[in-house]
Amino acid sequence: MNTFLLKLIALFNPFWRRVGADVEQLDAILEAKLKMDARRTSPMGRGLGQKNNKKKSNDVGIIMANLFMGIFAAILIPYIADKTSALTIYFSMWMVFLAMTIITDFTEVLIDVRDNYIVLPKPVNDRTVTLSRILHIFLYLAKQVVFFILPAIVALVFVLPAGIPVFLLQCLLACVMVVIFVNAFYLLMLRVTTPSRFKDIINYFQIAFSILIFGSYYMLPKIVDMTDMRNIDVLSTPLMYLAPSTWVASFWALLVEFDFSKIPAALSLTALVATFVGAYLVSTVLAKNLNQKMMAIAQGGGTNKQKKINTSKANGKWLPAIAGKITSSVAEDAAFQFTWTQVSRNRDYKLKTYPSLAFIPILFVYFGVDGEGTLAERFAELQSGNKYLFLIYICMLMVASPVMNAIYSDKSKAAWLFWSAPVERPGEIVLGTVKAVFVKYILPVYLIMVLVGFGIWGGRVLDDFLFGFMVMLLFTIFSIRLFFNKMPFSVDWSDYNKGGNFATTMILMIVISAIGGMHYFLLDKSFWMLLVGLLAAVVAFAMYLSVQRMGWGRFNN
Amino acid sequence: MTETTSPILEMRNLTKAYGSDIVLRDINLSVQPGQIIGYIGPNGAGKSTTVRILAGLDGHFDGEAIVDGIDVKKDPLAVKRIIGYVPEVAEMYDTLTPIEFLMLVGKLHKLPEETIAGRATRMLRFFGLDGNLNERMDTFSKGMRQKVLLVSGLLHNPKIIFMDEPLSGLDANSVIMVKEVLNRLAQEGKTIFYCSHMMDVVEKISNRIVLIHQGKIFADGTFEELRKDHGETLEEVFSSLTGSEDYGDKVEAFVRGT
Repeated sequence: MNTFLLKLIALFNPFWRRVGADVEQLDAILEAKLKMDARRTSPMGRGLGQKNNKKKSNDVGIIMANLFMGIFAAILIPYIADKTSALTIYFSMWMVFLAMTIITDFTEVLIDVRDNYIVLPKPVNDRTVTLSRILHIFLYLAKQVVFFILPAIVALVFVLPAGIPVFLLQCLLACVMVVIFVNAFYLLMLRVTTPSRFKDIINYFQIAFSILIFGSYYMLPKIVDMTDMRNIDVLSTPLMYLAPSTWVASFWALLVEFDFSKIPAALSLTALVATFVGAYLVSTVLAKNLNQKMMAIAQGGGTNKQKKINTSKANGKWLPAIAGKITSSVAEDAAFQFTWTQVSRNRDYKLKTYPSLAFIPILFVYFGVDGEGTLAERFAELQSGNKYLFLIYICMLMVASPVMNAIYSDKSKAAWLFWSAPVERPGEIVLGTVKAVFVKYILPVYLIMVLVGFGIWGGRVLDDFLFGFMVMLLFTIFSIRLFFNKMPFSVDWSDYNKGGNFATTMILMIVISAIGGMHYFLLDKSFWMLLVGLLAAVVAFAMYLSVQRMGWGRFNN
Repeated sequence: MTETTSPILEMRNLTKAYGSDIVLRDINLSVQPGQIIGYIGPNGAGKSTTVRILAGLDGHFDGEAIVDGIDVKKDPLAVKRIIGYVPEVAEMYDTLTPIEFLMLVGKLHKLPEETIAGRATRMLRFFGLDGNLNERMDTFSKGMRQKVLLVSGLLHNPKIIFMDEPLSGLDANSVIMVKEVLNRLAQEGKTIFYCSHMMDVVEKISNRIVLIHQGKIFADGTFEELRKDHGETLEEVFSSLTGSEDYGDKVEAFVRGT
């Protein structure tokens, strides 16, 4: 595909020459960039636990993701009666998807610091460099756009072929708006935050994006009433006038359905005005000093100010206080505090862990909510049943991820310090680490789920959640036995998911189902339930002591 | 060293500031063709900034910088055509293979493809990388990457070569090879200007050493000349010129853990 794209670009060589670029150098830069794009693991893929597969091209992933989302969105076009409304939803999905993809997936390419050392010291003029950037972005967008809109064009062939030219025009407009928006986003971020904070923000976008994609896939069919959807009329809801996707969609009403009434005309006009004003603002007001700031980000230069904030945070008094309360040895205390700060600052850890925590509500809605009837009916049915068991045991399943991820780091070699220090019982370090992620992630998430459970089912479920908590303690300790055969942060992320994780996850699923089944059996027998719960807590404590005494045997390879 | 030929590098009253932070103050330096200049100084002294300015990467400075008769400020592209720039080792497109990477570099210098392929293969073979020509560099060791970067800086047969820590990560044999290459290049009239912290190496291969500290030139001469005034080894010269007076007390306190 890349060769084809490069040939396509080369067709315009006379034009590129006219604007002052050197076409041979342009071709060389783009060729290298496209090759690197294809070999890059996208942060999205990494976040979802994709293997660091060096042979598979990243392009295939982009095509599949766009095609999939494109089909998903295109289904609406024949389904919804009012086509302007259908297109509003279609463009909403697309614009959000496209903007998120650029921000999460392409940012690291856009601010590639290595250009400064490899391309700029060579005799390449500024025009060529600038043009290579613009064309690189254009090619990236083109790959995305073509595969996303393909299914919609197929749908339109059946619905209203005459509208296709207008649709293409709308796509172009939507695309331009997204580019302006993303630009404005970068520029604004660069004005209000420091470079290292910028990377954090991008990381949170990546987390939010992966949750959004999977969340909408699992949850939308369960919480949207499809019969209402069919008769939706966007233009009758004034709030929708604020959405840029409505502006884009309004061209359909104007140019295809010849609805010359005030509202579509005004919205279409808004689209054009907003685009031009946006382009003007981005290129003049916001773009000042952009290059210098981009350089600062790329060089990762945290300013002095930034460093000061971090140290004052780290030296807070509450962390040592908590650590002192719940750890029982110096090594454990050290590992607790170290892990706490490490997971708070490690972007890869968050990228892998937060989505799996967010899967708890998503999976709960997917498994627990019935897809039939009106929304009120669905909720009433949920309230009368025993589906809170799903909530408890989905939590249990997710517990493994914060614990398991704590053995990975992008600076895995730095773990030499565990071996060089005179640590007698590495079990204490492991305990400190697991306690940190338990207190920081597992406990708060579980408490929130208790509140949710209380909100939906009332007081009758509290004993079940208490039982669940005992089992979860047991489970956390158990997952140390299963997953923690390495020292904390001592394995590189590129080895993520290598080998036996699948088998251990299966064991986990079986054990969870077994305990869940037992729980179901004990549902109305509160006394027995508490007794079994206590038993679980006792076993957990015994295992805890054995972990504490763990020697170097299992870590030394 | 003949003073009659015109200098290939010349800096006149070179001053560079980032906001209120002055990095280079009034640097005056001229270099004859065929010299190997070791440019040394403490961290943050302004070494990389000087190299960036001379290589035409940063046009925002006061004073003059002339490379082979070309004013860097006026025509950075012409400067870039005749220089080779070897950045620090971390900075490379490591998902490419050495051949792909050198193809990019060579094409940016407008070399024909066959020439690039031939030269790249020969030069990589010289460094013992002939078995790795088509492997991705993200699996390479630091030394292997450094070798590829060195080749990328020499590919187009430049007149002047700028290097930032060219020997970092190389094993002893490779250091000897690179030293030999640098000497041969100097004999052929090429000028080499490099920054380094490895004093023992600088001492052995440079025929002129420039020490910069707090944005100013503190010392400039052959190793023999510097040694006469400031100490036996280059390390001693370095610390006597840039270190503080109560060095001994500080070390004492450090060792005792107080």
